[in-house]
Amino acid sequence: MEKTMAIFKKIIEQPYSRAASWKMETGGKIIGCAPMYFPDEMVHAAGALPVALFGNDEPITLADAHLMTNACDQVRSTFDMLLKGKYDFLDGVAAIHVCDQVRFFMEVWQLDHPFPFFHQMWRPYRMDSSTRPFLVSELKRLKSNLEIFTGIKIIPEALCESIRIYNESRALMRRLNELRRMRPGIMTAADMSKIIGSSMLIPIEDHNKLMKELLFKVEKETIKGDERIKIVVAGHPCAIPNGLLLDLMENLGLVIVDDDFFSGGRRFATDVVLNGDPIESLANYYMKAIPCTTYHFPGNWISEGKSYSPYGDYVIEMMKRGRADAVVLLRLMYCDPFDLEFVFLKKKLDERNIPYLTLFIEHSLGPLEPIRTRVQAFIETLKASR
Amino acid sequence: MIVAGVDVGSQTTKAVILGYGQGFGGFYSEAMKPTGIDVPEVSKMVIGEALEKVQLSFANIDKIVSTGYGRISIPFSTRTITEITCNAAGVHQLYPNVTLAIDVGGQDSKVIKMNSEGKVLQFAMNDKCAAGTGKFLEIAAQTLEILLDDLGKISLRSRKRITMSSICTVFAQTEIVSLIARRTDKEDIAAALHEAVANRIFGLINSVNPEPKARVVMTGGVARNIAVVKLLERMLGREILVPDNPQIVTAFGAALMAENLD
Amino acid sequence: MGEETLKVNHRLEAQKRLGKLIQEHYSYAREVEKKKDQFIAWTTSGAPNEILWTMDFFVQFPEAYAATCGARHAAHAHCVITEAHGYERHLCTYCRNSLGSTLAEIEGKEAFDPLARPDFLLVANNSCILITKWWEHLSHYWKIPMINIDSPLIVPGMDQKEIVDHVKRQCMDLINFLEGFTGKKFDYDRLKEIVANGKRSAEGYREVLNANRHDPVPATFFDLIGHNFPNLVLRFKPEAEEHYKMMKAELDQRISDGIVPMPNMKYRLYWDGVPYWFAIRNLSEKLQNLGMCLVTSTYFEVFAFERIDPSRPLDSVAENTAMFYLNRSVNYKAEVTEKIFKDFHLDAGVFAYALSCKPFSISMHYIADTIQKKLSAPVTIIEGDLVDETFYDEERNNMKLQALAETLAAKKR
Repeated sequence: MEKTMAIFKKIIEQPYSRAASWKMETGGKIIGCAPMYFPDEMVHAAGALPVALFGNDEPITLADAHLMTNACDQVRSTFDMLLKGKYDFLDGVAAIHVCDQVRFFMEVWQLDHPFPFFHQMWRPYRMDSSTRPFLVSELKRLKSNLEIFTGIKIIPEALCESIRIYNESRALMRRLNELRRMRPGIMTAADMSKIIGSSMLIPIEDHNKLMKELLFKVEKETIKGDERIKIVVAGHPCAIPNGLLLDLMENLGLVIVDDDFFSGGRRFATDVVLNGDPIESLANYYMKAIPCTTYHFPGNWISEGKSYSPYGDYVIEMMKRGRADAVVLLRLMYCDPFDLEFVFLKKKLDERNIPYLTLFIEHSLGPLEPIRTRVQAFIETLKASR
Repeated sequence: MIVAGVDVGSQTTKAVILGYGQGFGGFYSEAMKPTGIDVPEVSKMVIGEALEKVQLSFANIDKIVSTGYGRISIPFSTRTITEITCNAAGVHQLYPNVTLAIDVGGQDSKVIKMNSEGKVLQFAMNDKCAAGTGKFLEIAAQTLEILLDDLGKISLRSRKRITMSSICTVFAQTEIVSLIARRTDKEDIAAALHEAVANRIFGLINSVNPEPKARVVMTGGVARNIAVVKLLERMLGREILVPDNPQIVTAFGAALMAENLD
Repeated sequence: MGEETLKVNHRLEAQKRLGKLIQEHYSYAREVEKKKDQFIAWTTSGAPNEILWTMDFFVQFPEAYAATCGARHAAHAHCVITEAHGYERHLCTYCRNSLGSTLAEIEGKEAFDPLARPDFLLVANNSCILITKWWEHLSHYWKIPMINIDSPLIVPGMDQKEIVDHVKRQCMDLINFLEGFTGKKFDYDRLKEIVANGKRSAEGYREVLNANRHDPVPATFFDLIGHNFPNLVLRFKPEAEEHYKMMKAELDQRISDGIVPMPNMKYRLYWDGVPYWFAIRNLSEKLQNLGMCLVTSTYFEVFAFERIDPSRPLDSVAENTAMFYLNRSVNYKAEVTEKIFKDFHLDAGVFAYALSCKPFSISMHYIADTIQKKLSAPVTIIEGDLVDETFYDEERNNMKLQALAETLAAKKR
């Protein structure tokens, strides 16, 4: 297991080196996709390699001349990396406009630093039968743009096959997550995040192979009683959460049994159910996705008695499913969607007397002291109430 | 049994010694010093000073709990416990009916909601930004060329309400200077600054959903500032209790926690 | 025309008339609230509001309310209320002003001149996505239904017809819902009439804006901004068109009579972004001292609503929402800005960063840079906020404006 884990760790340490060597071996195209819901299957079906655009924790220096400092760190960090040439190996960039910061800024990437392929996709902010047709037409537009760029026609069978491979990946990751939920402590959260995050950085077939090897070993592992307090981590920052932060939490007395990270639970929560036409199947996948602070559920605001925070409901459900005692919220600074949703999320948590801790994170972890104090105080509080 | 609590803050380190039963009677001793850069050294010195006052030595101490931002740098403590828990313990011992504690120190502020047994239910902290902490008032006092101890009283004499635009402590200085250049009264500037601090603290208070009738205590250096206390009383609509030595409460709580260690 | 023959008078008759229109609108709101003989809706600038007017809703605009609160220095107090409820300070202050005054009303506290209590909420995410979440909060606090019209950001390569159809489908849903909600049938003839009024109002508005192509201008940007109110809030009524007709006549008269809004008009300037509502007098004075005359802005484009067309009422209303100015790509906005610079013969640009408004501010650097590079026009970026004056640093901004004036002076030599 150590050997396989070492491979995952290396991928995270040098996120794009595997992609660069893949390009040299195959001559294929690499497309950087923002990690928020972009349909990697479509890129895969076009014979290209989708890699997630994650920021890093280097100080942001060049982006500040172009961008307000209270833009979220994800937008700033990735743009900074762009300006520093760290994305020069990409043949293209693509994103779904999940929020105002991404949607009003993504185009500046292309204007400042043109890529041969650049695609901005709209997933309707409100998802119902009236808006579904537009989502379908957006998927079709992406398909045709990819075909033009790669010169490869994406026939339905090819897209179905790609969907199957990604479903397999999701199933493998779900199984691993299930194991860590059932046997808390079997895997550190930092390792888990590296495993899932690396699936967004290398060819999916390779990752599936590694996952199978890993699972084979993990299935056989048992863990002695773990005394730590079980928690789930919610907040889905648009980045891979810092492993040091996760380790700190788990070293101080918490054990993380589930999460809703983009590079975590959110990635594999549901499958694309293949039902005839693959594009229609993809559209259905979006319609049925787990709640996110960047969604609007139209039905909840028309009639009385509906939940004012489907996202809050999901977080609580995740907690119950993991038999966890508390929630830790990882909040990226200056995230508009989350900060507005938080008011409702907090209300839900308070209504049910669910203990929670908020940790504001920036792209670079900063001093650990304040985090240590908060986490330790939270643990003291939880222990005292046991 | 003799126990000690040491609270290492970013600006001052406080120690409390408590003695229980067995021929000592009950006793209490305290000491406080600026923290400086050598945390283990200054902690030893502060404990030493408190011990001296009751003619005891290190060897007499059974258990030490360290708390505060520098707590893990102390090699000789029996256990480290966060200042949240320690502050709550100290407050509860002094004021058993209180369920909301506000602690505003030199560089951080925190709010703690407790139950009637002094157990922490929820807490909120601000330790990343000077706004809403003693630091903000310190810089304000320096820039206005007023003694920090007088700042609160002077602000109470304000007759005109102005709003300041600087969110950041650093930029507040420039703004203060330009307000003075425009002949704004110091009292009015001071009042605006106090309002900014109180607003930040009030925001923190609300994030723990305090009970409407909860009794409130304020500790930490800023509790000595009468204007901040009055502003918060007005915002909360109730009286705020302030102990005679508001800065020692967390160290006292640490000592109490030491006594309960097994 | 030499400077000696120019008379300075920045008071417009149109301003008085506008004041009356606004006053009437808000007192009517109080009456409706009392009598309850009309449903009240709160909506956003870019939503298909013709549909609400057709169903005889009394319609109010929290965004316009925010501007008023900003101008009256009442917004900060509202924003502070939201902080106590857990809203972060960096969030849009239009939103927090609105939520703050709502929370104040609901908790029985004082809100500044609040809007009439709504029965229904309509929002379109063509201004931004945050506004939909803002409306969710309003829906939650007021316990009333809310409908969002999803409106995709228009990027190169998208098919306009698909987008408009997408919006139109949602408009049909809206109409169906409102028929159930009000118990009335949607009157398509009435819609046509309302759209016809709106079209004339929109045309009048454009004429007024174009008056500033003249050198010297008959009115500054700050004199004109309040006048988006009729086209935004009242365009369904003939009063809006009448207002603009009279205003255009007045501006034309000022041009022939040689009346100008300020002395010392050395430079013609562009303004980018939302005006800092609380700092208008402040900025006007400073700019006047520096001889800088603010001529126009792409901000006006937001309220242009020119696509509505009585020959295809519902389709054009959907198109108007879909193609809303704020909903366009950065490049499109940069191009429109460039065109305005040329059409209005502008010398320089003041770009007003609003700290809490990411849609307006996040691409501002890019547009400012583009103008500077392509047109060799000096630009400066000042910082502030839409309505919360605690984000405004007067000293630093004045310094930047001064530096801009010095750059322009050096250029002339």
